[in-house]
Amino acid sequence: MSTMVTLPKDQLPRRDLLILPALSILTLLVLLIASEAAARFFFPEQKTDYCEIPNARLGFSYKPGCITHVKAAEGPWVVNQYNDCGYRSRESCGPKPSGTTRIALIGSSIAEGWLVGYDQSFNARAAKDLTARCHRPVEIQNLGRQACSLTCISRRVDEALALNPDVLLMTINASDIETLTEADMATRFQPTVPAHKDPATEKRSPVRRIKSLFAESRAMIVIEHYLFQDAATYLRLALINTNATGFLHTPFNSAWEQRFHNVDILLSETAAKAHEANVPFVLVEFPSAAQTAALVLKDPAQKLDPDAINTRLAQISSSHGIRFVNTLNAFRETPASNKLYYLADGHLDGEGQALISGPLVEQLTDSSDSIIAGCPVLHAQGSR
Amino acid sequence: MTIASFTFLGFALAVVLIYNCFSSATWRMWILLLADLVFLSTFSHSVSAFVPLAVFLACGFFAVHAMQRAHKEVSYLWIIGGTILAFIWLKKYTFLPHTTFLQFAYTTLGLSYIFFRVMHMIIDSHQGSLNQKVGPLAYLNYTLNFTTLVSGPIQSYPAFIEQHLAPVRPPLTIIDMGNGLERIVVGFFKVNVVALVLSMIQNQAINALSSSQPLATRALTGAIIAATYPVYLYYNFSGYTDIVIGIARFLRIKLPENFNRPFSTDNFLEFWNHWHMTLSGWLKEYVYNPLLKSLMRRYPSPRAELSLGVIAFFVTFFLIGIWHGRTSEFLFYGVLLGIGVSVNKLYQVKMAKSLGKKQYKALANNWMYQALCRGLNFTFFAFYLLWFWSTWKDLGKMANTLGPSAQLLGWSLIFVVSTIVLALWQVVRASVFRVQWEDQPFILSRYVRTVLDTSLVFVMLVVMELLNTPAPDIVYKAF
Repeated sequence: MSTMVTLPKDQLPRRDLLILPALSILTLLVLLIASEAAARFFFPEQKTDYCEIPNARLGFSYKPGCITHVKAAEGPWVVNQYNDCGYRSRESCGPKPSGTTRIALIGSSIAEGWLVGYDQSFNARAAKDLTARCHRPVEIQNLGRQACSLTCISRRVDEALALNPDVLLMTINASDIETLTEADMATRFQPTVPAHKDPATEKRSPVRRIKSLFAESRAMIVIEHYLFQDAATYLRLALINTNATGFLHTPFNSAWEQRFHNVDILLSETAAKAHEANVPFVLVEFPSAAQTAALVLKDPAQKLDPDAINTRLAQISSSHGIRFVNTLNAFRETPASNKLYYLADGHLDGEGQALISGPLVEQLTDSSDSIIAGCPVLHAQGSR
Repeated sequence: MTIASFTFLGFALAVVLIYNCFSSATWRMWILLLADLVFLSTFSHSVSAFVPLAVFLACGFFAVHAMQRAHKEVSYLWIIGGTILAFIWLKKYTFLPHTTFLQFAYTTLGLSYIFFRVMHMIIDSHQGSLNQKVGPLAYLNYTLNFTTLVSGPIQSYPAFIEQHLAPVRPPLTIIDMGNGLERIVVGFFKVNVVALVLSMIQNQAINALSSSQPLATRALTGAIIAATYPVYLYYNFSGYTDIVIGIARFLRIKLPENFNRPFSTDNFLEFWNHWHMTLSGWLKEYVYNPLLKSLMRRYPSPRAELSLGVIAFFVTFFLIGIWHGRTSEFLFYGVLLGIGVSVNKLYQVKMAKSLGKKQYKALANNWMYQALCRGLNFTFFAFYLLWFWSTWKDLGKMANTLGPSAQLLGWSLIFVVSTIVLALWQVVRASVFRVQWEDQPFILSRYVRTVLDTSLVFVMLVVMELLNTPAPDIVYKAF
């Protein structure tokens, strides 16, 4: 302290040139750690499904008969219970009981009802509505699995058709299409799924590591959760990633055209197998959060086309005799439908899943050439 | 360009860097003028929008020179009258016929504060206290200084020039920079976090107010609407002042303070000595003192002293009120200010007479009395500010929705809560400042301040990210 006493008032002790910035950094670190701890306490998250088991063909699948709990930071605790085939269904995957209509569902996380309670998932809601409407048991064998790419889904078609279903149902969305790579396409007929680099162990620059540390922190999830309540903000930030949101701009850029071309190939292959097995094939598109935000905003200045992806998928489906279910209108007609997602996570929440089941049940039963016959229209529809 | 924005901060940083590269006073003047013009240009894309302001400035410049050359009383009165009239006309005060106004859009940004500066120069030149030659560059730098253009603080010309045009640059030490940075951080926090949250609370309360609410809820909602605004205004305006004072420090200019813990004062007069201090000081120097002297010359009786003092106070505070705006709401606001100051002055004199000076002083120092006065002062401030931020129509609507009982309950609530909160704040503050380290309060240690300021930055960034709403603009920008 003696140096400080002798110094003139307008001079700082030399040691303070180090101490003050260090103190500032230390304060920031303490605050960051404290906010992360608070975020983890108030927004717990469990995204590891302990029922996952290695699977050479798919990367991983679920252990038959296993029960586990998962939770999105923004959502409730959810029980994941798998049947005797490792599907997220209550009914056994054994021989179809007589008088029962069986739907085999393939898809990724939304199909699985990832982070959503079983009864809240669109397939459980649809099964319940169809059972009521058709006056006979309608079960959905849910082969959906989170992090299953479109080529991973196509690997499951034979497995699904082996269940002797009355309908083959597949879910798709922009994220599935965006993550479809040429490498996936090239290796889709290989008997085993190629080993991908694990992002966790992949060598990354220190800057990228720090960036991902912040981006993946729970505090950031909490910030995003509140920030993304505003559709304009969500869309503004989403549109920065032009690669991921290219499907909102028409005409599509070359990357998205190529992706749709690959989707066309995969869907034609699946449709051919379904046709051979004499099983109707239904494709249901569920909107992404960016699509819904664009719907909610209705801002002509943005020149976005949230319907473009559905229009293209409908065209592809039509060319392969696939029944396409467009769920976008349900989101369009629901106020603040942009909030029916775990906003930081991007998956639909339980209320959002309800918007999928309504149009799906209508398409399966109501149209003149109904896929599931003998199901009259009920006045009280849906199970929201 | 909004003052409490990162855009402004970036702009100021660029100016600071360039400004400090030059030691020549002339270069610094040109750089500052360029910065002033760039800042001004961000408020309109049309050149014609700046013409009235430019003409006003030019007239002010010639008026100052005219006063420096000849101190004739008649021309002085004409110039003062003409400048006031030009200000009122350009600000489009509603009592002037609408047809007389200029029929094109023009900017009046900072006009009020330019007016104060120009008036100060004219008056001081006339009185002979401003003898130094005022060059056009120095004049423009003083009147258009981008740090004080929008809402002050009002610095005197000699004080500005002494620092800005000093042949040897005033020093800029690391402590100056640290203090400047701290003021900017605190200012940003005040405007972008505290003021923003308070304005959101007030808006929510206004939207929630309904005659269907139970009496207690209605009273509480009404109390929130009225009580949040004074605190919001304080954080909004003092935050702005902190930012500009902080930036000016980097330009080696020490701007005067505008606030000194106004809510800790326990009477109306003291409050205005701690709130918008440079405006109060200006009015005291150029309105109150001359007016009182003039009245006392005309009515020299010692018995009239009190009445004359009250009249001078009333006029000064009435002018403060009507300066704020052009509508009848501000006229009434001025009347309330005038009544407030007059009653306060009369009360002080009467109490001193009836109790005796010693007894009254003892009473004024009693903590309970002080706490009650502080609460009353805050409540009255919240009351007359209603005409500052609202309109007759909206006030009528709110009064009808609240009804007399909820209004009475609401104001009582404001009085009780503000009395308790402000008293507690005094106690907490005193306790914190009692903890000493290195011959100063521990809380003022640079180490503690570094920790606190870093925390403010962190909280501010998180809140700005979470709320994702721009903070309301500086309220006084409109005046």
